[in-house]
Amino acid sequence: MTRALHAGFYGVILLWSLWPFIWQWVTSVKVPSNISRIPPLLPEHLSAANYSAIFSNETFIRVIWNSIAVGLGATAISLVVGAMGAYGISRLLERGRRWIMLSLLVVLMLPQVSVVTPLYRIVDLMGWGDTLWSLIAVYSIFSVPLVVWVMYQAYEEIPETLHRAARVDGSSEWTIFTRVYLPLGIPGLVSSGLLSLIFCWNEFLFALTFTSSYKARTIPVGISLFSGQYDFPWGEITAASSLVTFPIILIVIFSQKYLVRGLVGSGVKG
Amino acid sequence: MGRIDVKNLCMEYNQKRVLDRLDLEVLHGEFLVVLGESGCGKSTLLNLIAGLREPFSGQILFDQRDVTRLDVQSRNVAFVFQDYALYPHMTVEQNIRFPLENLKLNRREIDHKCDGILTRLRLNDFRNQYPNQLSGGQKQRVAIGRAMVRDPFVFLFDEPLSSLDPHLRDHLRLELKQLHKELKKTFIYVTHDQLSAMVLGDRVAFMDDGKIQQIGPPLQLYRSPANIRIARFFGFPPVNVLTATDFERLSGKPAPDSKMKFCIRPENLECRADSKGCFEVQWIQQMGAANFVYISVGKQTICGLGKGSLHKNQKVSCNFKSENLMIF
Ligand SMILES: Nc1ncnc2c1ncn2[C@@H]1O[C@H](COP(=O)(O)OP(=O)(O)OP(=O)(O)O)[C@@H](O)[C@H]1O
Ligand SMILES: [Mg+2]
Repeated sequence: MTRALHAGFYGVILLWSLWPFIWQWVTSVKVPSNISRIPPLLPEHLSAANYSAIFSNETFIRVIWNSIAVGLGATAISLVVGAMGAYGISRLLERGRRWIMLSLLVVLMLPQVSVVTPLYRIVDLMGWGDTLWSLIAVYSIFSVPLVVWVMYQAYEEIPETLHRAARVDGSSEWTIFTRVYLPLGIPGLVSSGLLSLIFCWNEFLFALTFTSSYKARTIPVGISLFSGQYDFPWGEITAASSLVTFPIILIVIFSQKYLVRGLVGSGVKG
Repeated sequence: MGRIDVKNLCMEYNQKRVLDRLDLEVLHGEFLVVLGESGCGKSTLLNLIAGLREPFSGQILFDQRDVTRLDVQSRNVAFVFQDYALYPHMTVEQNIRFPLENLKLNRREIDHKCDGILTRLRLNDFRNQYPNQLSGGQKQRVAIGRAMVRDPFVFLFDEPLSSLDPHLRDHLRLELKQLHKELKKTFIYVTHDQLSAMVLGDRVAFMDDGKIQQIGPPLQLYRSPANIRIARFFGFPPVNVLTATDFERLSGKPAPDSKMKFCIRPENLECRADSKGCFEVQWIQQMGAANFVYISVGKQTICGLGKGSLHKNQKVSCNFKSENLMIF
């Protein structure tokens, strides 16, 4: 009896949270002309019309490539800068780590709206308006602290004697970093890299503000600006949305171990 | 050669003195154990000798050459840590190659040296295993192997055996002693375990209050300790410390000085069954090879070596040779 109750309870919660997605997937496979007709609730036959429409839409393809480029670019920069920074803070700094880590946390938690105007001015002054570079640079501001935090925790877990052992073995700090800390911090790198990718993939406000054409717009902005000539293209919007949620779902399913570690800390121990 | 002189070494952490004008001479090729209570600054001393930290003041000489301001790379020391600090992501062979790669030797030379070490330490069968697949003894050998590939000036050990179970510890002590004989290098080993010090050391230096209090062969520290703390540190069961009145009760003779403390080790205090004896057995500790009996003297319970078969509440008399008495 209680088991049935539990099952029912979880079912309701699942349905509640998944409903928007289900609705979106169902809509995306309807025939375009039947989109807003409610009976039938489920489409009688699956149609790929919406998907083929967005894939023949050059703007949308461009937007996907923009998102990929920005996500990978910003993540690559953050991993390089963040991993080195975390090593420096964790192993080379005698004092002041606490303050550095706290100020990085502040950057991480900053409401984005509060910095969008100054950042816009800076981007404009640099002449980076409407470029992928502007987004890569701005996203790095937020994902570098993220990587530093995750990697800092990962490095703090590596026994301090390993650092001393490597020094006794005649390594320079650079060798210690590349040959000992970097390999041992790989789980942390994977998790912080994924978190950074997800952040860049989903970010909307900066992407909207700093771009003025499809030259640099990313997926969230692209979808929100989708419009047909005569009516609202629900079918294509839902198809596009389903498509871009897909990579995130894959990431979460296949790397939940790393993601949870990144969020909770602990990058090294099994 | 491998002579080390430490002169007037001072070290502070946050204004707290840890080493206070410490002097120490380590002879070439000797196995020196630095013994002291937890927190007395043994690891600090070792880190300073290795060059992992800079002293507050004082000098460290390697073969009369002042290395005080040299960094760890230029001192060429070997350091074996308490947890061995093997690189967990590298195989045994890679662990041993690592110091050589830092020296930028060519491949052939590295292969040659690495193979030599693996064979010498009987690690050939494990060369492709990772540290977490090794037993304690194998880990110790890898750590020592990694330390010796660079042909170091001195080997420094920071309590590497303290966390192991007694049997393994015994076995590893033996191996370490053996290795010291083969390598003919200077070994400095710090520990708070008196047994390790007795077994391993050619000489033992007792450290307390930021200084070396006494240095000499282990038996010398055991038999004629320079102060009461050293006397208390060695031996199990611990040494009996008596006041002058209790001493008079025990020996039946007047104490030479009423303000002194009188120490006698349990194994030097023989307790025999004696119906006219003045002491009564409180309880007996069976150690296999020997029985220790506990008796009351005044308000104190002291421990002696039981002779013959004894039982609880039995009357005994106690004797000791005056040369075994330690007075502080
Ligand atoms: N990095 C440090 N910063 C501040 N204080 C320290 C530091 N390292 C050691 N100390 C202090 O210096 C004293 C000596 O420490 P040390 O580690 O040398 O002792 P030890 O004899 O090796 O002890 P143990 O037997 O427990 O290893 C201790 O009181 C310790 O708290
Ligand atoms: Mg120590």
